[in-house]
Amino acid sequence: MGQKINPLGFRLGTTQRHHSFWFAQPKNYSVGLQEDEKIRNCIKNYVQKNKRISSGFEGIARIGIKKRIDLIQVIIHIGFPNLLIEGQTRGIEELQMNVQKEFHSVNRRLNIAITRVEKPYGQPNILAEYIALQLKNRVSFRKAMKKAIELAEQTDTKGIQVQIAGRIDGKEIARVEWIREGRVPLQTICAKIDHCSYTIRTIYGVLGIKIWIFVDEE
Amino acid sequence: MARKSLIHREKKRQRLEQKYHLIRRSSKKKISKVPSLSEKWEIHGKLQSPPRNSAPTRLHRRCFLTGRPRANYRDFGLSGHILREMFHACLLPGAIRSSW
Repeated sequence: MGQKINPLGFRLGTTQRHHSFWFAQPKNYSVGLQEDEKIRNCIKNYVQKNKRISSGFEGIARIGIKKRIDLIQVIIHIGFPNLLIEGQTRGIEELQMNVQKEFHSVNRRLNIAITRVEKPYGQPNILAEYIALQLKNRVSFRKAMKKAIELAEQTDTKGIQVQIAGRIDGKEIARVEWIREGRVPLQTICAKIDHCSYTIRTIYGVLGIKIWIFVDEE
Repeated sequence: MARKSLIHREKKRQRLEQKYHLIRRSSKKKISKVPSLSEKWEIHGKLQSPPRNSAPTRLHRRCFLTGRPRANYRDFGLSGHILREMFHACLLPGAIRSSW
């Protein structure tokens, strides 16, 4: 039977850009990767910790990292940047200090910028978090999926497909449920498709959510 | 995910190897220069004296994310499975699918 390749990886050379964008000789490549991991983990932990306080949910759509010889530029694409902006920009500086603590290197400056994503529900990561929240509140899964698709349609995407796999409704037999609206041409490389795969831990086990959003046809 | 004790053992070996690196290098140079055999035995004795875990041959590369001892790639420092996951998440700069 055919298995589906991750549409992001499939399109990497053509319609998909990398989230980390820097150059390194083969000797230093793995060091650069480790730095990237540290930065991303630091940011995610910080947002996770302070999420309780703000009780909104802010979805991090993407963390882009660019490096130059003397500068590391981190751009966080976030959907609802309440915490990090309304906190009188204290949030960003705290973040910056936290991340800088991880690094013992004095050679590179660190610069963190926050960008607001214009249509937050057009990003699959944010949609997946939304569905996860709904499922945690014991909403019926079909309603959650339909609500998510509605939200995405409002931001005029050309197609969306949502798939939930696992012990749906806590039933003993796991199954896969999916809904599609519009068209999602996975085989067309010049079609920009955004994808997210998200796991939720419920009391019955792990549910996997996958979302494909067809953004544009170039 | 590999056991934490194994990952820390590797770290210990790395620390020791760094600590004794220069001493070992100088002994090795001397042993190749010195002409007489008995002196070579002496220097060989010196080479045997630092702890075993400071020998670079005892290091074993592990994936830096999971600590997996097999299937590691030197260019990335990652094991194959994690490499594939990170590739699909667009986190490896410059890596694209190859087709020709």
